Amino acid sequence: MPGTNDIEKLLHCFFDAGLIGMVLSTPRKEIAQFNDTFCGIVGYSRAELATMTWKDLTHVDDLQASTAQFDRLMAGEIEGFSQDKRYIRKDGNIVDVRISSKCTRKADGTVDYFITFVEDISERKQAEEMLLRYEQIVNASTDHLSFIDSNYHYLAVNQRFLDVFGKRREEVIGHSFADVLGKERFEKFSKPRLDRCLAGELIRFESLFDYAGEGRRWVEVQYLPYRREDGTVAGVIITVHDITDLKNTAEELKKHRQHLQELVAERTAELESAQQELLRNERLSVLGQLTATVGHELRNPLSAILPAVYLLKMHMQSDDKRVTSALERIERNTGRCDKIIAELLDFTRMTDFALQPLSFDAWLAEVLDEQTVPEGLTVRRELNLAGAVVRIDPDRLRRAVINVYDNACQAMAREDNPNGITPAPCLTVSTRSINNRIEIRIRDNGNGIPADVLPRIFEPLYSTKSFGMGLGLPTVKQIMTQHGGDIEIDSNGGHGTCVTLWLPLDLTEKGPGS
Amino acid sequence: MKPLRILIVDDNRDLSDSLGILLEEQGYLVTVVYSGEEAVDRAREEAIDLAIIDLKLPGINGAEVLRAMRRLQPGCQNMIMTGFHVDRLLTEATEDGAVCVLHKPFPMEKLFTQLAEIQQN
Repeated sequence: MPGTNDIEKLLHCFFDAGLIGMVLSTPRKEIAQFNDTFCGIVGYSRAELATMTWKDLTHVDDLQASTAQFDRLMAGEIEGFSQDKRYIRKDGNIVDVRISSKCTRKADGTVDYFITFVEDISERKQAEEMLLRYEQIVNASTDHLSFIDSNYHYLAVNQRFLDVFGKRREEVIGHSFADVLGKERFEKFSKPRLDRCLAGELIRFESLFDYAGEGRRWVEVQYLPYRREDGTVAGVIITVHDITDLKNTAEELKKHRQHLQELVAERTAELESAQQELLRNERLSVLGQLTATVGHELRNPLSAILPAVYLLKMHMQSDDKRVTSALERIERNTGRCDKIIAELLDFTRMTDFALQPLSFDAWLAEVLDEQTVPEGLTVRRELNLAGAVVRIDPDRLRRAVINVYDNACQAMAREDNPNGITPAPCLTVSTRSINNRIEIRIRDNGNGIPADVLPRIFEPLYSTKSFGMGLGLPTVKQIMTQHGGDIEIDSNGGHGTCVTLWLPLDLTEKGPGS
Repeated sequence: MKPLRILIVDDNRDLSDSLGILLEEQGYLVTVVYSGEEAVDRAREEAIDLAIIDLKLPGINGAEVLRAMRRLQPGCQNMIMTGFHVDRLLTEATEDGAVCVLHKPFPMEKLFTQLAEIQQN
């Protein structure tokens, strides 16, 4: 056993060892004894501390709690306490400390001294704060994050993880992957990947995931090996990131890009066709001007032939059939020349297209009235538009109707009927409003158009007639397309032909019967 | 009935001369000229009942001749001959009061019918 002196010596050793700040203070809060470690914690010299009290050192916000404990000690309610508090150092910085106090009492029970251990816990406090910060950052993430050890047990998860799976933290932490998310899912799906990750591989994959309350979402999952300092893998950090919006956006983008490409292709095609049309129109325009000039110039000499022939006829007074036939031939062929010019001018006429509203059936009846009906031909009219007013270029459309009408008359006038039976020639002109169209239909019961001719019928300069330039139907087609409509031919070899000239219904100003 | 005094204006002499002879033989009093300028000169000098004017003439064109006729010979009727079916000059002439348009080449019968009508009035 050491003697009293030895014990005193040993206690001094304790006091000066500097393992922890030690203070002996009085009930009046004066600091009576303290070691160098305490000086170091608060940053004051021995001389300065000798004149100070606890109150001077304690952070103002911790003063009340400190005083409360002090008062309880003084009152004899407790013998000691531990408390985390803050001191203000001499340099003004705050230092976090943990104090543990006990009092020694006199025989009457009043406090004699306070013995206090002061531990600097700044580093621990900082670390705790840092941890809290990280925890908040991790919890703020909309990804769900988790950390499992090499035995597939959860060591940490963020708030989002708990929200997504609808679990409390204690239901997850320390439990296995299989317990938390299901055995089957673990065995079949997750374990093989986790094992690869635990072997050191970074795993990334996309997957469909059913979120509670949010439905099925696309997620990107990442398994990141968690390595100790020595490089061995001690666990897996799992991040699950919702990429549904991204995927949808990418899909949308892809669709838009495709659509854009289609649009570009479409526009390019349109432009090309427009350019070709322009070139064609330019060529036709030059050709048209040329034709118009030549045509009109030719009409002048032609017009001089007719009065000359007339004079001849008057003065020859010949009964010689050869002479009269010759004169008639001159007249007839002058007429043919004029027809050729008319056909040419019709086809090449590009301008002067002007629409005007006309009562359609009445207009068509007038056009038909002007036409001569060949002998033996019946013309039937079935005009069913009942007063509809349609915007047309009457002069151009008249040309189209007459052209088709003449063709029909000629088809029925031919004598080479292949069937050997000639039905009574009958031509039916009808109008109707059907399928967003205004239609004029001209039907004959002539020979029909041979199958080999039909495909070429709209080719300019293609003709099966002795006198014709082959511009008739191309001109009709041109006139109809100028109106936004078209021509359709339905011909059954040997059983007549039906030609439909149609106009778009939106040219109608006043509907049928209204 | 007094025969109509007719002025024929066309630079195509084959046509205007043939027409001239033909109409003379029909009993009309005919003057034939080959240009718009000549036509205007004639209109200043002599009375005319009917002018048959080609639209496309070198120098003064048919529409201008027609206007001159209306100014110089207010009582004169005017007919237009043309190879054009649609034309600015034709529109002008029609608006300026041409009584009829003969589209070249026209049969003589058509001309005679028109003349008979004018004679009637």
